[in-house]
Amino acid sequence: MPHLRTGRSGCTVLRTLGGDLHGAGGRWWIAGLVAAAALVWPAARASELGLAWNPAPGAAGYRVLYGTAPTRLDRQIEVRGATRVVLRNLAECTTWYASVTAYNAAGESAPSPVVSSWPRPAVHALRPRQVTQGDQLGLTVVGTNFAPATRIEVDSAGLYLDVVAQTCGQLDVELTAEPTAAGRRPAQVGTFELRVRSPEGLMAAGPFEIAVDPSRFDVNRSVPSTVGRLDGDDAVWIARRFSGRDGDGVYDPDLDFDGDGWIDGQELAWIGSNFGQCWSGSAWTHSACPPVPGASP
Amino acid sequence: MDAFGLPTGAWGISMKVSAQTYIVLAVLAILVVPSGGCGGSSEMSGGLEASFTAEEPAPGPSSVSLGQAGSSGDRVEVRVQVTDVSGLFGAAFYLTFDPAMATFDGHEPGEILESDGHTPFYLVEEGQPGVIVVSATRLGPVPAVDVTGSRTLMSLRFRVIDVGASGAVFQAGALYGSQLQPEPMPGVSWFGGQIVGR
Repeated sequence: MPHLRTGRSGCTVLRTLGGDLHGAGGRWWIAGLVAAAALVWPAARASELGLAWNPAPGAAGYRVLYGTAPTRLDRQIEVRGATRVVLRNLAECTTWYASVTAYNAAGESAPSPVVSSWPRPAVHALRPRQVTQGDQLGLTVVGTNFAPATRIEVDSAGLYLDVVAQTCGQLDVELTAEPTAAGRRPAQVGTFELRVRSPEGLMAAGPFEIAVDPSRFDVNRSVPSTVGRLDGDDAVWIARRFSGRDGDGVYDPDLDFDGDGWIDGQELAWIGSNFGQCWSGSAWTHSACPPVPGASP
Repeated sequence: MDAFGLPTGAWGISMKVSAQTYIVLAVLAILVVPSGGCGGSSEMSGGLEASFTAEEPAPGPSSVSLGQAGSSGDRVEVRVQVTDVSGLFGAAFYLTFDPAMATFDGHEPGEILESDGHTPFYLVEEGQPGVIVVSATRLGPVPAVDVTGSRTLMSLRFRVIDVGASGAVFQAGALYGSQLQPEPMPGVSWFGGQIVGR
């Protein structure tokens, strides 16, 4: 039995000539971007929203009714040969309501249950776009259609994001990129998609970079003379825990520089590429090294 | 292969160049070679002969020492030996020498850390002239090695560039066992030596 896919659960049956059309727990989908519209009408940027539904047997076409109130679906668009449509030129930061009917030569079905959503969110800018392990700072996400209860996600273990304030066009986020203390699993480094997810599950994304904190390479600080130096002791410490994986008893998060949950060749490579150098306060350099006792000037 | 270790076929292209080109190349060679400093031939070093004199020719138990592994012309290979140490997982040290007397020329793996077919990890860097930073270690969850007698941890190659002797001195040396948080072994003696150019 065909049914209408909506963003809300429900199962109102719509009588049609070819069968029944149900509202069911489906989904909204989104296509396209608002960028072009934003350029043309910067004061009232138009957004989009995708709608999909299951086919009704015998339907010759569908009529999508939509508007800004459930009782005032004053716009409509006809769809033939497809069961999805992109509703365009929608006012931003506004709840839009939609319903679908099926029709053929014999008539038109009753409308499906009304579904509602803000238009798809969009991310225009992240400030900052890059953070470093150990950072605790405010992240600003600039965009549009950030509905109430919008969430923000990044697939990096050790990165924590908490939305503390939001408007339609901005999310203020408290960001913590571990490790902020010894023994904590570090944020995984790399470029990730920062995703903004609306309550309806609509997503927008922007690239977001997490950088390694190179001061962490100095793992052996057991003796004052080795603090601030990357030398053989640091390499041995990494080597002993080589192949350790998070949770196996060998893994030490303080030695997992890239935060991928492994102590592996990447950690050795970072030691190796800075080997013999000293910490200047911002980077590993040869020039920061004090003379080694016994070395010729 | 020619004297530089290059396939002789690689020079085939140069056979087609003109005599004028040869003259230009010859002039460039005269200008460049004396200042190159990395040719490494014994002729460039004026017939210097390199050797190494160990500080402790008969190292006792629980020690790390240097000894000559071989020499050829102005080059000498110095063996880093470990004597009678139980449970060795890795080693870390600095080695200082007089950069006016010798240059560091590279390193070779040894035999201790390779026990049981293991592939160890070596890091050797001349961070500053006359200071070599070394790490030689096994990797991961493998057993440590018991060293009986004197065996080679690794070798270091030097080229003498002047007549005289340069001390080769260990600094901040540590041998590590296989604890997850490696601790330097106590009571290890470190003996260097002299790089000699004649």
